[in-house]
Amino acid sequence: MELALEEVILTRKNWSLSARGIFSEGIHLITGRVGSGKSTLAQAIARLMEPTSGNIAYHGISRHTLSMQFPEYHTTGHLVRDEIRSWGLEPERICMEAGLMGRAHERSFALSRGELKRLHMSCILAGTWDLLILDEPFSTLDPVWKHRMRRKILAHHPPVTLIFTHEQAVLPRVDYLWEIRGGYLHALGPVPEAIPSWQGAPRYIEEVLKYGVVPDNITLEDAEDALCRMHA
Amino acid sequence: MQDARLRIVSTFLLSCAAFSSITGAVLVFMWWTIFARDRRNLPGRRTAVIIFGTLALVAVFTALVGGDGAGYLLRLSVVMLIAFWAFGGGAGEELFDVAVWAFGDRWGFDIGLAADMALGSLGRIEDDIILTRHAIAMKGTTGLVRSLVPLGVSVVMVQIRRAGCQAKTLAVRGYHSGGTYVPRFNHGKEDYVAFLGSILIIFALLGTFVRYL
Repeated sequence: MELALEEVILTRKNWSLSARGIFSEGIHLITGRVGSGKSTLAQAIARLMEPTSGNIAYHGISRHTLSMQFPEYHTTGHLVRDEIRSWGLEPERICMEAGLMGRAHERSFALSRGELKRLHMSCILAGTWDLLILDEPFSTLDPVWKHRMRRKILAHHPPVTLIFTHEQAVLPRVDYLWEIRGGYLHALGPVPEAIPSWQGAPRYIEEVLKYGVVPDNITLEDAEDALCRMHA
Repeated sequence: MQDARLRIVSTFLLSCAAFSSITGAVLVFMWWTIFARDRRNLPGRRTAVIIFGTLALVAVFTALVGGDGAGYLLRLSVVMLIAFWAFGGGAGEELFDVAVWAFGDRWGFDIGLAADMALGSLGRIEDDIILTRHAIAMKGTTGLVRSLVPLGVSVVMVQIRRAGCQAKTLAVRGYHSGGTYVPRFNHGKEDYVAFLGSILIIFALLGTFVRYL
């Protein structure tokens, strides 16, 4: 199961993004600054927009979905339980997963954006997918839920998972790193080998790299472990 | 038509004329083909399908209950064309100009600000509709009719939330009421000809229009 970007070019007025590469099975982290084209690329990969040129090929992938940054766009059920059922899921279980126990009868849009994001992410992670594209899955979540969501993604991720984010504080362990800069999608490679060439790495990774140590992965815990190993 | 004051009055007159009768709609359509040729501001294909599709649905329903569905569709479609011409290019700042020119720095500023924000939101609706349609399709709901209600609810709720955020932002920045703004207007000869055209249409339809009112 894999996804191939074959000389893909996305353009919009004075902006363009070129992307090529193969997303094999595993968790891929795609980073880039705000406005670099992460969301546009995510939508193109989800086949919601046609690239200006090139081709996006699915190999062995039959079920895919995209989680957009703003959960409001996904919300189509009047009540929380309607929203959960619109995903074909059982309200009780999802409410518990999302920390919304006893709130199934409330109006979906009466939830705060953070609660709505928890609800949406819980629904999407409960589905069965071959390819899951998550655009800023940690945005609008508080730190506690960012950590919980990170664990949920690791526990429930489908074979090919793409995480587009500029999050710097709470990141999941990933298998591959990609970076969008200068209008190109750069394939940095598998982790941990790719970490030293990651220009937009979080501060804690930069600090560890300064000591000449490469952490096993990209989380804060990995960085701490690397420093401990060095001092030991 | 460059002068926003004339355009707003023309929009009001032409919309009334088009809605009042089929003859009015035909006359306004002729006006639109002549005077709106440089500024039609027609929406994208998807938005057009949704807007005119909704009108068509209401027209079919009207016809089924014994009303003049075809007439309704024609009249409302022409009203929409005039609306696109007048506001499709993003006329928020122009409304600000007109409101302050007409009502001054206190009431005019408030009305202009509200109009500016409302049109700003309208400008974002197209993107909201596209993204919400994608989200609905990803849930496996297909077909315009089945997705119309959730689409409408979602888009309206997103707009309400955004309006709430804007209101809070204004309050945090200390906005209470009124403000200072210097309106500016450009106009050419064709503005007056087009404006006169819209007045002539209303006069030509005076009997129908008064009956309609």
